[in-house]
Amino acid sequence: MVEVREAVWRRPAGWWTHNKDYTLFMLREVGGTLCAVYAILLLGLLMEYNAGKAAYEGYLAFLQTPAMLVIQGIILVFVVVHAFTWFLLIGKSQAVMSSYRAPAWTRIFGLMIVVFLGASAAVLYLVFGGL
Amino acid sequence: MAEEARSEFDARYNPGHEVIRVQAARKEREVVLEPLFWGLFSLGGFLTAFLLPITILALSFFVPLGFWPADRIGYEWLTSAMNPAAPNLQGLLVRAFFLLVIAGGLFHGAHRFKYMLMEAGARKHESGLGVILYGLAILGSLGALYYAVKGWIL
Repeated sequence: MVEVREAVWRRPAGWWTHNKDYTLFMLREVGGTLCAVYAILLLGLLMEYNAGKAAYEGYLAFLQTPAMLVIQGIILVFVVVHAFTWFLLIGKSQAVMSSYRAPAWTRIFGLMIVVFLGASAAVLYLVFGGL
Repeated sequence: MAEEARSEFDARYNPGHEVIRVQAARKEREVVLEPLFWGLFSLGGFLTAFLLPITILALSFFVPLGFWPADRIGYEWLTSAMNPAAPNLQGLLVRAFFLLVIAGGLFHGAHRFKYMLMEAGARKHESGLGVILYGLAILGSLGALYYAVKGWIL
């Protein structure tokens, strides 16, 4: 049997600041975590809606306080970074994943942006009733 | 013992197979739930990447920025949007949308947060972190499911 040795990379503190790609990876990690924070805010919206009109409108007013708008703005920036770095990753990983000649990552990234814009337009029209 | 294949041109060559055999020989416990939660994390990442940015803009910023009047996301709007009798199944679509975005976001964020905490030094507590974070994601998703079907099935 072939001997298999484990090669564990012991990462120093702050390893993700040493390289632009690692930093982007960590920003995507933060963005992924903040997806859950906004999901909790959305769950709160449904809970307050079920509690009645006054509760729902009170919750909307809370979401529109300056502090909450700043928090949601930070969440939005990280969620967009999370989405776009993932689209980048899909393009660049094809060279590793594909057995055939991979297309240029820019073409895949562009395609993902088109799908993203299409999905956003669908949500805007089907869920929120258009612009 | 038969000689191992050492070249990718040899039909017996399968380096991944060797790794699996070594782990089995060590009698490490079989990982069952991790692939399941990784799948939910992956699905959640897909859903949130495509659906969450426009949702945050519409629900949190279009009204304060003056792009929409306040009643565009008011109580009557949500009542109408979630009405199960709405034409073209719109009510069911909106309910499914909220369920998928909330559950997807919770599972994606729970998994990411778990590994961030492990990177920060909590690697010894992986099992406990999994129970707490995935447990919260399951509870939140069940809550979203309840509100998604309330007034329609319940």
